[in-house]
This record gives sequence, structure tokens and C-alpha cells, in this order.
Amino acid sequence: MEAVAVGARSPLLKTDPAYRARVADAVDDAQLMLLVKAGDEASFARLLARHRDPIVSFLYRMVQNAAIAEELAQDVFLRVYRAREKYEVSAKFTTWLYCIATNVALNHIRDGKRARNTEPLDDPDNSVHRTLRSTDLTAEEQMVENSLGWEVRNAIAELPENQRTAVILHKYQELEYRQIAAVLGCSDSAVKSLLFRAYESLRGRLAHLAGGR
Amino acid sequence: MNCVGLETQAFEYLDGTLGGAERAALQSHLSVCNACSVRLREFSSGFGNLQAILDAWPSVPASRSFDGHLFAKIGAQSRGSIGWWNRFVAPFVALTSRPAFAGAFSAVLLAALTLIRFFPAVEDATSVNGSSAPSVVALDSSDEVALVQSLTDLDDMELLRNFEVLQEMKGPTP
Repeated sequence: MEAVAVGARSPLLKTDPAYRARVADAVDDAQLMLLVKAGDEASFARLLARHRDPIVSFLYRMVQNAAIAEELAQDVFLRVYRAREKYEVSAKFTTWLYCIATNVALNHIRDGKRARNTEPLDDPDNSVHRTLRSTDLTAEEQMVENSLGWEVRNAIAELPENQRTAVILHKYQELEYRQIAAVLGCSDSAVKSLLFRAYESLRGRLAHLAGGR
Repeated sequence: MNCVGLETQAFEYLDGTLGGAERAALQSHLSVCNACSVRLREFSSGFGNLQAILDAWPSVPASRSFDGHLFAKIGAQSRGSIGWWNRFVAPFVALTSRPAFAGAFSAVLLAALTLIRFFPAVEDATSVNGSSAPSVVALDSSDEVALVQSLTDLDDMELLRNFEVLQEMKGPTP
């Protein structure tokens, strides 16, 4: 719609890169995924560009390790690519994507990989883990480790699994209640209840920080 | 409306998006339930502050090598999922999709049909001329006369039914 209006006002040609970029942005995720299904590899690259960082961030907050989050995110996109031929537009693409990402994260956590590969939250000075991570710490991670973010991370990690997932999807990924319900496999009301209790719990855990704000 | 309903309706109540009847029911409950009333007030007063605190946990972007590693995995998986037979026939299958292949295939088929159609005639011609070894029994002129004369015998149906007589006819002609 917007592309048509722009085309009517300005002399942009269809071969113009600016015009093509505008049209590309207007194509929604589900349409891109259908193009991927039809064999268009470029559309997969565009989907990847749109969702790469949000998915890595989501997985980082779920497993609390940047290197593992990146590895799991690659697994998520690999699954998306493998499932392209069976893809049907039945829900929002992001709901489907976060379903896959949540399953990958929870499977990783349940498999106990997290216990072997990540730093225990109650032992921030764990020397073995510091050796494993070596110089892979990003600027953001280094900042988190000595800041308010570290306390937030601990408080969220202490929540029950379903509350933690709901908070991350709601607060950081900005998914709607309906989408979170689809990802967690429960009702909208159950999601609202989970979030209410989770935020109540977080408020109690982080109450000592509220005074400075 | 009971205390459990507060948890499911608190967000919409505070947003002002809760429907009229449900809003009235919740307000009615809050007026008689001190625990829920305090709980909602505390939740409401600390929610904005809590959101600001939660923002202190920054996100982590993907590394620059993310796409490269992912496409390498996709490529490796694609190669691994193709069996040896598929790899062997793949170039031929690709060839069949070209228009030139269809033209060449049609030409070869036409040539083959032409050869099959005219091959026996070529054989007869060569045998009559005696230029090459005949592959079928050639008849000279006396044999042809005897054969034409014996054809009248075929009109006799009794003779046709008698196989032994036919066998004798196939013997050497006098």
C-alpha cells in the first residue's frame, strides 16, 4: 500500500534499488516464508536479517550464555529452513518462530547442557567457566556482569520455567498475550495470570533497587 | 468474581481496556476483598518502576559470523541428505529440463522409428542384388512359381485343417 503511494508521488522506477527496498520491507514474514517454500533463497536471507538479533537475544536470556544462544539460534533457523516445504500460514510467523525457539531453549535447559556449559548463577566467580568463555564476552555481557543487569538476570533466572519464559516473551520480545499463549500451549487467561505472578515476584526480588529510581 | 480473577484481569483493568461488566464485577470484588485491593495497589504502583529496572538487562546481538556459519550448516545438511544415486542422476535430471534436450530426444526418436520402418526393405534389396550375405531365405524364380501354384491349395479348408499335409508342402520342391 505504502509502496503504491510512494510510486504515485515520486518518479521511482521498479528497477530502482530504493523502490525495491521499500517493496521488500512491505512484504510480511509469512509471504517471505512462502517464497522460501517456493525455493527463493534470498527471501530466507531477508527473514534471517529481520529475526536474527531478536532470536539470539531471546535465547541469550533463556540460557544466559551468548555462545550457546548463538548456537541454538542457528539451530532454530536451520529448523525453519528444513520445515519450509511444510510451512502453512496458520498463525503469525513470529509465533511459529518463537514456538521453535522456546522448544529449542527448553530442550537445551532440560537436557542439562546449561548446567555443564554455563556459569552457575550462584557462583559468579566460577574459574572453570571463565576459562571456557575466555575472550568471547561481548561488551554487553561484560557490562551486565558488573551492573544492575546482573541482578535482573539473576531475579529472572530464579522464576519458575513457565513464568520466566512468559516474562521474556512479554517484556523483552514484546509478544502479545495471544502469541505467548500459543508458544506456551495455554490459554490467554493463564498467560495473564502467569505474568501477574511473575511481575509480583520480580518486584519483591528487586525491591532493593527500586529506591534509587 | 473471586480472588483468582484478579490475576487474569489486572492488566486490562489497569490499562482501562477491561469490558464494562467485567470491570464492574472486579471493582465490586475489590470493595469487599482487602487482600486483593492491597495486592492490586502494590502491583500498580511498582509496575512502571519494575519495567525500568528490567530494561537494565541489555540484549545481545548476533555475531558477524552468524550468517556464514548458518549457511555452511545448511549447505552441509543439503549435501548430506542427498544419496549417491541422486547425486549420480542429478546432472541428467537437470539436462532434461532444457529445451535443447527435448529437441535432441525427439530427433533421436524420429531417426530410430525411421530405421525400424525401413530396415527390412533395405535387407531385401541387398539380398536380391546379392551384394551382401542375405539374412533371410531368398527365393529364385522357379520357387516363386511353385509357391504361387500351391497357394490354390490354401483354398481347401480341409487341407488347412490337416496339419500333416501342410508339413509335406514345406518339403523340398521337385
